[in-house]
Amino acid sequence: MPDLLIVGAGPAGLAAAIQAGELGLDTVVVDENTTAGGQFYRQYPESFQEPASPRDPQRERGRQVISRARRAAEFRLGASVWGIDGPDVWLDQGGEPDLVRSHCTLLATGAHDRPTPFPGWTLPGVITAGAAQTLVKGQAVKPGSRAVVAGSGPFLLTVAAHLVAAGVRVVEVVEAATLHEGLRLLPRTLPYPARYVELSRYLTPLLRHGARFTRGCVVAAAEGRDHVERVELEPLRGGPRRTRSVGVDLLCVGYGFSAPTDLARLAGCSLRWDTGMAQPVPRHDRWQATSVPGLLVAGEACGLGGASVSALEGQIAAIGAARQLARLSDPEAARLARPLWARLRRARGFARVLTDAFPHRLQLAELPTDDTIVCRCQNVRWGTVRKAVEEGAHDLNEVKTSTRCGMGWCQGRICGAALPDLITSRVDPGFDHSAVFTARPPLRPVRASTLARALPRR
Amino acid sequence: MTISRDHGGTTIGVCDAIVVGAGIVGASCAHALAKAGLAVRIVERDAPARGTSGACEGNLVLWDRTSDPDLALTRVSHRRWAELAEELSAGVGIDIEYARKGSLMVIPESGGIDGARRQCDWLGGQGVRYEWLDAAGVREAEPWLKGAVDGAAYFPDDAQIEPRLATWAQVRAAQRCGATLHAHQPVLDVQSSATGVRVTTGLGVLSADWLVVAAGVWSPEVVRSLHVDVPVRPRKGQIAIIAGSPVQVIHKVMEASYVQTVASDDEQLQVANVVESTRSGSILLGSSREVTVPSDRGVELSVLSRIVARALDFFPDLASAQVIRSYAGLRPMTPDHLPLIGPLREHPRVILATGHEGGGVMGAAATADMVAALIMGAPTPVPPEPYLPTRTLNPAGSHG
Repeated sequence: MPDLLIVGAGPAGLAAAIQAGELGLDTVVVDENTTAGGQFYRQYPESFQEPASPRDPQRERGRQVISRARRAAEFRLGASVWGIDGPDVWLDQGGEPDLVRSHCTLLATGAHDRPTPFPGWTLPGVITAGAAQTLVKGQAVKPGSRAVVAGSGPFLLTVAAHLVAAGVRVVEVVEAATLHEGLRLLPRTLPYPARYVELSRYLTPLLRHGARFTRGCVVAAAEGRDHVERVELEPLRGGPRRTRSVGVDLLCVGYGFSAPTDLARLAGCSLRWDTGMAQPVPRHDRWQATSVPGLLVAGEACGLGGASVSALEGQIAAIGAARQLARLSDPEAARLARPLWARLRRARGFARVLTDAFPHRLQLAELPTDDTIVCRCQNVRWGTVRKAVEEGAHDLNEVKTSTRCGMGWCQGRICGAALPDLITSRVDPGFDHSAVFTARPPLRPVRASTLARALPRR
Repeated sequence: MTISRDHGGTTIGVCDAIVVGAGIVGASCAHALAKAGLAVRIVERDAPARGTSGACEGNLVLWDRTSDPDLALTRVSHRRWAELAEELSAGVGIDIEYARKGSLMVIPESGGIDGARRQCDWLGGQGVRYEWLDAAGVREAEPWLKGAVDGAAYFPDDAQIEPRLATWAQVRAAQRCGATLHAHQPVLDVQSSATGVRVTTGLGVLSADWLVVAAGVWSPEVVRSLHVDVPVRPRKGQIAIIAGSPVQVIHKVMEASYVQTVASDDEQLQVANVVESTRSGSILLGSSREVTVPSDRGVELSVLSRIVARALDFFPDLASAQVIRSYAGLRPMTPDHLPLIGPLREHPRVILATGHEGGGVMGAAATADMVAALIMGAPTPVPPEPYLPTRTLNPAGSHG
């Protein structure tokens, strides 16, 4: 029985695995991706012949972190977690069921682009910024030839730079935050000079490429017959609705991030509101322990922070697990964690600057029309949900019961993240914004034959 | 004669009848009472169909009944649901997805034919239509059912409805007849006298001539302040849902041993195969039964695994299909497997309408008519005695 099971092999999970190895914990890492690294350290599949140049320094650093972590723990990749029941975590590894029982479990499941419905967002050629990055960084696939990258936050620049490197013509980067908002926060970024180096790494190729930068604008609609052909850009606030049309065959959208909490909720964790993500996330103490004994959380799974925060939290969580397992006394654990806590405070400070500079925007909720699909699995349109709320649905589960919204393949991970904003700002300000769909197993679709062979314990 | 006072005292309403519980039984009772002209308030601690009615299959099945009175009530209900489906569609515009698709009671090669024949003889004697199919007949009726079977009994009149939609439709129909829904209002206190009841919620006190308690496994909690024993225990059932499979399931397909798991007094886990498709294209896999506590609504993964494994014995082509969801419902079980419909002995104005176990959707329509008849002093659809809470409750044998 392993001491620690880490779910997720991104920056948080890898840092936790390395730290756990140093503390002598018997550790297993699972990730549903077939390569370790998560989105931040995205690697090519092992079967790829990697192009010799240009070398991507982040991929290189990722490879080093991954190889250290792999020496410290047993890795099981391509294994998705579909259930958790006390110390038992149920896996689906390529159709083979498995159950891992461990003393402690660390949720390091990360975040994904916040789903933001707008007219045309389901058209082929409209993908999330993260999806574009995955295609380029993880599969060496060029997702289109002429792109607009739109949304909010520095991640847009990263993705745009990756697209340019992949040979995509990025015509415009559309940032929702205004120039004024950015300048106002400039002084708060001064204590973090290293971040400027990072920024220039992405900005320089984009400027050389000739991409147009627009601030204070959003994509109001994507249009096209059976593929996106143009996007309609619209200023976020002020004045009459003036739109400008840009011809593209690829639109990458990313308005910040959202963390899936289904696993934490299924395990029974209590949640708190995270302003950065504008959603409830698992509550944790300074050792990254959740309200459920033996269950810890680290990284973006418990709030917006970025890779540095995630890695520090992962390290602290490993120390927290060793402490729970009595492998470290309280003073020993505190001695190890103290410098990490100090660095974490600083890293979180920068994350807060970014949160303030690129705030979550309720105005985006004005974009969908009655005809816009909000639940992509069940094809439920905004008008249907609006009507259900007007007729008295109080929370997401009631919306689900009366519209089938959230009953499909993704189990409400997509629409569940988008609907609270839409409903509170457009229909019912008193709607229970913090309520989420009830989490039930299997958390990922599992083949019936896999489920049938998942051996009963009793 | 509904009076609401927003201020000045804690009484917020006086009405003819308060129905506690907006599951399929409570919603149906509220509709029947409101239609009979009573001023009705529905008090629900959550929202309609958020308890057991939202976690079931919507079976309108006759063959799994276990006693004469059970079957008598069920047959009335069966007829009533066909009428209600049309009435609700016309009246409130909700299609409850009534489908008279027929059911197959399948006898696996591993045995059970004697018990199945006894059940069919009894049902046939009561006038339930059925037809025996041999193994080849089963293949023809249900081509994807490829497990080894001895045969099946085909019940052409069995049907299903979408239980969530049906519950909402009954609530809306009650509202159309003047009823009020108080959602998200747990009952805090109940007081009763010879002439009426007072029910306290977070909103204040509601007074009425009658109280109908249709809160399923949570009914004992509702009347806790009356210090009466409501002999209802939760028996948990889990369901797995498959989406996107090309496998066609035409009828409701149930393993013959299902009836033994229903009738059994065994509190331990029992699993019997139930497979059916829904209009939305998903396939539901059941079923399990296990006595538990009212707070235990979680899905147990090992049970889910057994349910799916059993379904694959009958429909092997589902092996590559994706299970996307599961849920658990708490069926209100009574010691003799008959519902509790009628007044409490010491509290003549408090009417129970619960204890249908897995037959709540099936029995709701007739139960509502029965409750309305008892309150209005009208003739009941079937003699009420076997269902009265004042009956002697013995762990029942079967009809045989």
